Amino acid sequence: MNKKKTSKGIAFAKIPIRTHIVTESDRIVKLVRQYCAGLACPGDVICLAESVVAITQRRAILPQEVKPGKLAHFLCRFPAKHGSLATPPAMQLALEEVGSIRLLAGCLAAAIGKIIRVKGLFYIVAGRQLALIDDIAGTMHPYERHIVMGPRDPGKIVRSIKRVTGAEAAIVDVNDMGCVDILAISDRSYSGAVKEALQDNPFGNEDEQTPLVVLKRKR
Amino acid sequence: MHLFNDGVKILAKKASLTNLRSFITEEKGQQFSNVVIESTAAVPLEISYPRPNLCRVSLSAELIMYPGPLVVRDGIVAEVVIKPAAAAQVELDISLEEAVQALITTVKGLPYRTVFGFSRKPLYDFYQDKEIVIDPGHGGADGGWRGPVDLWERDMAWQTAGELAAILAGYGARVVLTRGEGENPSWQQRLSKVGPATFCFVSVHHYGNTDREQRGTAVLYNPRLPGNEQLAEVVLERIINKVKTPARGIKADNELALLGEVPALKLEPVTITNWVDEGLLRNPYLHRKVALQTVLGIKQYFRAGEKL
Repeated sequence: MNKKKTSKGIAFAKIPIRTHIVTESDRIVKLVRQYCAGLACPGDVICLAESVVAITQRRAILPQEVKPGKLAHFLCRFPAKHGSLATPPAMQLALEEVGSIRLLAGCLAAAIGKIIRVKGLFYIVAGRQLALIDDIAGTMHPYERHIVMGPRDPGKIVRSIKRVTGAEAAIVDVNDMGCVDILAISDRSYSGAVKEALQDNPFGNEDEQTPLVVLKRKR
Repeated sequence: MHLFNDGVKILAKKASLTNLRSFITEEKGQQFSNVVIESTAAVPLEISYPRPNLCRVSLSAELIMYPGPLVVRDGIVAEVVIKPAAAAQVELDISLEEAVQALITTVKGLPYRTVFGFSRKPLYDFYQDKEIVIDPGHGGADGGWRGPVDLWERDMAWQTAGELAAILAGYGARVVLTRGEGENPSWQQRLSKVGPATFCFVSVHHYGNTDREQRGTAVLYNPRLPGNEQLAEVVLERIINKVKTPARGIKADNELALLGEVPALKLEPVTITNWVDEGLLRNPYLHRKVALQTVLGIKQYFRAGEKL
């Protein structure tokens, strides 16, 4: 039974929706309407994977279109190799996203964090949006050749979805390690329950074409 | 009936199909290829087999999800094609790589799940007691090619070879590895593991080139044995279809020719010196997919030969 009592007594059933491969020619609100009509009602939460929102905003960038500078080449040696920003083009895009001064301040914070054994200071100082960058090969086919940035204006998008569907909406970054990051949600009182419901990553992390998950509220 | 704010209708409560997926499970030592249909309610269905390799499922349900085909190619299930039929009727054609029939189970709840489980016994039947020699390329101080970020061919070949060994052992094959994790035997020492009982030799490498733009997959073969070229073609086709890398082609390999008339392949699943391909190697699913498609490609080639 895919139903779970979550925080504040809210219980959700999780319904992943199989979609076509979303590209930059899609419009995200139209996509939600197309697949959630008949399914999502007021009180439910329509959850969207952040990378798919970014792709529709043309924020999937081919590395060949980026000219990494010397600073990007130097800085990309330091992050964990399995994560983002390990390639010069991804680091260059990060520099352009937040500016070199802020990114260098993040590096300094990360160095201090290493000494005092506190993790995550880089993103706190340099900007949370950098944690949303998916480096080359970090996104499924046909976007494995791209660097996918975080989405722009997630708050505006969730409000539009709520206006159109009547259901709540959230844009989230979820992985298989149980980490759930809510970038934007139309009603913050749902945050805890949504986080709990998405911990087992119903979006999937392999070939699944399920960037939309409807959390149906148990009445 | 409920309306979206701008007038989009919410359907009355009846079964709608929301998701279609496939995965392999193991129960009591037996593997199954599962095709799972998720829906908003229980779905009345009929199942038939118009041909031995085709399972047709007729469902009384609406279609919410994307109706495009689901390409599986796991050695048992080839593909699932969704065909909207009459009003509120959907037909699913599950094409099979083997003539097996489904065990159907349902899981109540939201979503409601209908599971079609196809036995993977044909894979056991083929590989049981066959000796396969697996050669993880390089090793020890010989790292092979290095990726632009930090991965070494030696370690990635070891990981892919490990997946290959695990899958083959799971189907009852006798797996012989040519080296341990920290070892780097000579080519002659590696070949000496091949004996009269050896069914197939598979060497695992990853291609490298000073040109970082080059990427893709190749399969090299032993030119001494007629048919090995076709074997390489089948394995290459299966790998690139699953991991979506460009094909670099097949090629005769003189080192493998030293084996004489033994079926032998050298895999180069990706080009480790390319940024994208090195990134792909970080994903454990890639190693698993390459290994499974190699196992399936070998079986496909030899089974086709048996039928001739």
